[in-house]
Amino acid sequence: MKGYGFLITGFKRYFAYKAQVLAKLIASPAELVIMIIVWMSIFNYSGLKEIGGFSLSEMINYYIIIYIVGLIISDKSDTRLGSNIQYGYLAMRLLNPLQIYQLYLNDEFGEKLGILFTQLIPVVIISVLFLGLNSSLINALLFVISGVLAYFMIFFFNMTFGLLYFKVKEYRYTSRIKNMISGFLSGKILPLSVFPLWLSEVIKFLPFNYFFYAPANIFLGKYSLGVSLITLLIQFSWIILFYALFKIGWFKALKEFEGVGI
Amino acid sequence: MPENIITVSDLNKSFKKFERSVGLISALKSVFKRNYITVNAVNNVSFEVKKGEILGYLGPNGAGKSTVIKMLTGILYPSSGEINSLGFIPWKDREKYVANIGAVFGQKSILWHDLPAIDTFNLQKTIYEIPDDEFNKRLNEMTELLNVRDISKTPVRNLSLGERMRCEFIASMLHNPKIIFLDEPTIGLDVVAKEKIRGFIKKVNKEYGTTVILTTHDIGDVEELCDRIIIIDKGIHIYAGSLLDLKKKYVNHRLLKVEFNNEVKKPHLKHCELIEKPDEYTALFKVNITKTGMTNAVKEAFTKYNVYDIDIKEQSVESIIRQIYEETTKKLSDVK
Amino acid sequence: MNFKRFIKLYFQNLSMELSSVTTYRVAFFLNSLSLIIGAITGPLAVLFIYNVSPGFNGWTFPEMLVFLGTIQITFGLTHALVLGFSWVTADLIINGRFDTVLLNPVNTLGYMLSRVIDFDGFVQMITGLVILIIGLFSSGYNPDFTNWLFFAFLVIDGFLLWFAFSLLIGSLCFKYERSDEWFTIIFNLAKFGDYPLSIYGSLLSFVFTFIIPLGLISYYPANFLLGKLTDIGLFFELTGLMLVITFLAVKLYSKSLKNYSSAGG
Repeated sequence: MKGYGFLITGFKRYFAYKAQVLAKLIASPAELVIMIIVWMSIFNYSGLKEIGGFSLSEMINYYIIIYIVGLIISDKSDTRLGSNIQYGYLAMRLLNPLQIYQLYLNDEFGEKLGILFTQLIPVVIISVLFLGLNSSLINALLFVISGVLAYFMIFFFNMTFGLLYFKVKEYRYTSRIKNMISGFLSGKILPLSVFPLWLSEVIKFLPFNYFFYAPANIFLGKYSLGVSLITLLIQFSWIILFYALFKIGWFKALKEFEGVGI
Repeated sequence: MPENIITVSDLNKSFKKFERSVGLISALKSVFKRNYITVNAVNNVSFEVKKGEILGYLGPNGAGKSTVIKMLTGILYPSSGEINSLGFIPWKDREKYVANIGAVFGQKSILWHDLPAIDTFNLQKTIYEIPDDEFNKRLNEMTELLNVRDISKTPVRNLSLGERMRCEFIASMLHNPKIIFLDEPTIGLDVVAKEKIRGFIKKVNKEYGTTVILTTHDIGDVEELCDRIIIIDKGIHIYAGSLLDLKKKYVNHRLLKVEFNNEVKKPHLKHCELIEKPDEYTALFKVNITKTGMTNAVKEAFTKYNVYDIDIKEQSVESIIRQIYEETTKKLSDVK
Repeated sequence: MNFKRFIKLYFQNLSMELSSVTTYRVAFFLNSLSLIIGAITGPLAVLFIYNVSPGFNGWTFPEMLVFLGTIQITFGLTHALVLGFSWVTADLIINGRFDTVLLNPVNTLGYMLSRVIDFDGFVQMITGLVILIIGLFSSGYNPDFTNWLFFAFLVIDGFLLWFAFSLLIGSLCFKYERSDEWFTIIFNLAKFGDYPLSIYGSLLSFVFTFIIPLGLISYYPANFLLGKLTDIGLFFELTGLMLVITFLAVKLYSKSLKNYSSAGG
């Protein structure tokens, strides 16, 4: 892959601060543990076999998957773009022969590699051994593909969203608000099936459904093979859509940027 | 005879420095264990500062300057040794002691970034408990002197570096400190701004009797302001005395520029080193004045060649100091 | 530094901070919006849960609103007044500007207290209060003066807990410089306090009551407000515990400050 030097740098940068590594190792599972305890208590008290179409063990698996996916799929390209624009680094980035999104992807991948080894693999092992995480081979495979597609969906969605920052100066809080809303609507806090029916139906038309909720369902075997394949197709279409939106928007923004100068 | 306002005896300071790992494997290792080395930043330093003097504290980067200054201002504890400043032990009586000193650190601003300087001035009034009339008097005096009346109402972030530095000075001096520590006060300033700041320092020193300790890399600051200088390198004081004495002690050459009426391919003078030959008609010599006088060299030039013009220059203070740094480095590596 | 001077300094810093905020109005507005949205996600999620299940044992949905609102009030108070001890310390140290703080002839802790005011926290508090009041109205509870009094004191206890956390993080910054990691760890571990302690079983409940009293973040204040708990003995035990913890945290911060001066920055 072109420009893989960025990848190595991203990987090294990840380890440069050992405290950061340690912190993430200790801190993030706490949230997962809490969610598991919370749902155990809800199921226990309710006496129900299923809530939102999920049994307790499916619910636990759901949150584990969400956590695992969240580790790898997180993306900060919108704030990166916003900060590059605001601090004037964009001009420097443009000097690089690689396209802007290729550069950002490289930054991201390097970090992902670091996360893969220090957090992802241990968590998967622990989950499989102690928390009963399991799935059929086909589902797991389809899940991985869906996860990768979800990543690119989020990436190009963020890149497109980041174009806003050519006009809007304040990027930190704006992105934070976007992340909160998108996180909620993609099922990170609560499976979408627990949402009121009318809301979850609406969300199916939005990309958010396919960031986390749909991939998780594939893993849990909630979708038939046909539905899973259609999901992958829909994800792929969203990627094309965001990619196109980004390219068009980028072209327009650059024209103004180079003409006027931010 | 002005008394000593600061006395430093056998000051020592060592730090633990953690090694930053290079390369992936050592980066991974460092997650588990950190290696460190002990660095002696300050080595048995002793000196005095006289009341009302302007002392220049010079040294290359990493020489231990800022470490000594931090101990003088009570920000840092020494590993061993004593400091008596204004009758206080700086780090022990910090709160009481720092009410009498001021500091301008070139890179570190005390002005609130988003607000006009005047707001920070008022804050200083509260922090240093400056009575109203004294505050107003000093504010007016210094605002006039540094010509900041208009800009003190503009948000600091909109000021140029020179304007900001002037406001920093005022903020640091409103409480009439007896000693003021200046760390690279003229760095990054243009020539006009530098002159303004230097003029201010001189005036303040003269009128209020403020003792000034100035660390700088700018030789212009040193020549214009300092009564006395101390040079520190690798944690050791290698020179303490006046600028004049420094020149007398270390100057071993002067520069002689000769312009000839005809082409001279290889000009040569006794006890002189040809250091530059800009063109066929000009030669720049380093005259070793320990071996021969400038007069002899000039006489020889006129006798030997057909001279059009000559120019005599002193060795620059900068090159003297550079010489001293180089000598120290050489001495220390010989010792090893 | 005597008390009168501290008060003057505190309010002067407060008004300067307010001026700063007004300059960056848009950022303040957006940040406030993000805090409000963050505060609403909890209640919204809990609402959906209560639509399809009986929810948490011993808590009706309105009671959960009171619970969730309290979390925002406690944390918002911290955010407004002392949370900055965690990251402002780090900020100043990294930029080398902590030395200028040490040059002031004032008690450093007191000075930092006046420097860490953050108006965003008040937005959080107000949001929490609104959520709490909505919960109270829908629950039909009518807390009397004693309930509110206990509630207020317990919220202050929760505030002290977060204060102690902030001081702890600040202390770590003196040694390790970066603060975000410690903040992440503590912030995430404190999330155990975001749910009623009754879901945790006896061992953890004990830990979160008497060892690291995360229950003070919301569980105990909400319980006392709703009159579900009236054990005055417990109230005094918790308050006493918090005073001890706060005292230790202040001592830790002061000691770390002293070590910073001796080890060198």
